[in-house]
Amino acid sequence: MQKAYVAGIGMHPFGRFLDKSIKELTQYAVWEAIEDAGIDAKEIEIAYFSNSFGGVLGGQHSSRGQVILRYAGFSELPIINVENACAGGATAVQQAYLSVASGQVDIALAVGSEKMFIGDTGKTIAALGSAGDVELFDGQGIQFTALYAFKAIEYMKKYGATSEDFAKVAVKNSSNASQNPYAQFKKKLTVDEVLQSRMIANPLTLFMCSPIADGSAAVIIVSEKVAKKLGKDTVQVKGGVLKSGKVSNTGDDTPMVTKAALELYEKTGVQPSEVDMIEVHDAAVSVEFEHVEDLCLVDKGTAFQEIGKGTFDINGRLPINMSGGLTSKGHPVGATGVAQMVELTKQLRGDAGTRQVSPNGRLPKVGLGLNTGGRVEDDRAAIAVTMLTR
Amino acid sequence: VIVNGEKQGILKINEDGKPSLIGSNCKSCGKVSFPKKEVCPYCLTKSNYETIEFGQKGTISTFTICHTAPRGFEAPYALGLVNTDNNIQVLSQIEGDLSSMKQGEEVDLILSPTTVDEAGNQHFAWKYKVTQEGGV
Repeated sequence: MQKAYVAGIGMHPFGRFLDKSIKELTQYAVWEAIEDAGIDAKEIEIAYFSNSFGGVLGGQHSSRGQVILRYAGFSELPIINVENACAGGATAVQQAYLSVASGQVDIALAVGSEKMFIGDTGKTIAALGSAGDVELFDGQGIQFTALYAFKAIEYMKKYGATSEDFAKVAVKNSSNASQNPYAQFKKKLTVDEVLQSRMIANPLTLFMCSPIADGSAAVIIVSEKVAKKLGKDTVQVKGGVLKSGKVSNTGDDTPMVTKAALELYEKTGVQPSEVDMIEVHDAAVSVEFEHVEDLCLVDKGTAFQEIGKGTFDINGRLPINMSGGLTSKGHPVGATGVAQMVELTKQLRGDAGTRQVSPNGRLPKVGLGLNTGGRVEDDRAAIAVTMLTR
Repeated sequence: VIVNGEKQGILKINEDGKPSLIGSNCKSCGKVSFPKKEVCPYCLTKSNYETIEFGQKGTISTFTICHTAPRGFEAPYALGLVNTDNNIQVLSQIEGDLSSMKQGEEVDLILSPTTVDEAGNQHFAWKYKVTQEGGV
């Protein structure tokens, strides 16, 4: 495998953009990335387009990437449509990485876009529910917030965490997002505001849950040769691992997030202790504890104690969701995993402004993204961990 | 009457009108899978299973009350994980008094009216309902 680098990043801010189409969101992010990389758009040899709900919500059931990227000027090159529920973004990034690392191409584009504000919230919630087995759950009113609520309840029971601990995660993420111009919610919240916001699915309140969002994010991944020529060889895609959920009752209690992470640490030779910062999939804030523990970065059952000590703050020992995470930055499903890479790249370049992570006064060296999605029976459908280094 | 999942082999309606869930019990490794599968996901053995019917009774393992609803549903309603026989846990809507619903409570598998489709047909879905004193 050859080395591959993130040469360009681009993002359309996440939020509610009623007057913007998915084509416009995508064009904005892709061209921001092209300009950031300093490449000629014609040099892009392959594109991976991640989107989950452009069919059910937008009516574009097929050829989404080709149709939407044509608006951004693209034709002829291979375009691969990626749908992997909420983990589609990281999946697209990993595939673009593999296209370069395998030597197939020198310049690859990964872009994720989602248009979720369609004027019918019930329809959008129903669309999200289709990331589970629709035959199995037909007519049950299954929604993902409830699945996160179960996990939160189980975590509380097992370790003694409280709603206030979850609220502290929301407060941290809102504080980070308040410094991110691309975030959907830039208001800094207090613990009381989070706890007193409307109940969505107990114990999860409104401000503990990721919002519906429109948005797009793009990365351009290039070979070492091209990266050096562009002067963009700072941020390397060190590797990625993608998994599917597992069957239950096997006696094997290792979560798939842990399996994916251990495989990534092994593959890259990077130890968990070397990880400087992570972006995780806080579709609900409560899952941040589970994620950081399952990535083997803190001991099981201790993350809720660490949140109170500031461990996961920008200036803490292990910053989590510097971008504001899904809860504050927004969660336009297919874009989320790509946006995690955008944030990690900014951090590794030292371009993150007031939310810059600087362990011991230096720039961070290792960033990890965890992007998960969907549900099959008792587990997630897709789990993706991706590592960037400088 | 349209029962969601009946055609797909997820459940069957018994002679007494009550539903049962349908799973597969692998004859090679002994693991039970729900819904029923042609290939066992535990040992990847093909077409070597017996069909089992289960799930008429269970207990609530974890539940939450949803205060927002997807299209076609009305909040609030409860979703939960239900422990059934054969060590199978299923995710389902749970009917009952939301203010007194408790973890560990016994529930019965029922058919309950759910959404109405575009042709105007009333669909029924399998759900669990908190066991009433004196039976369903």
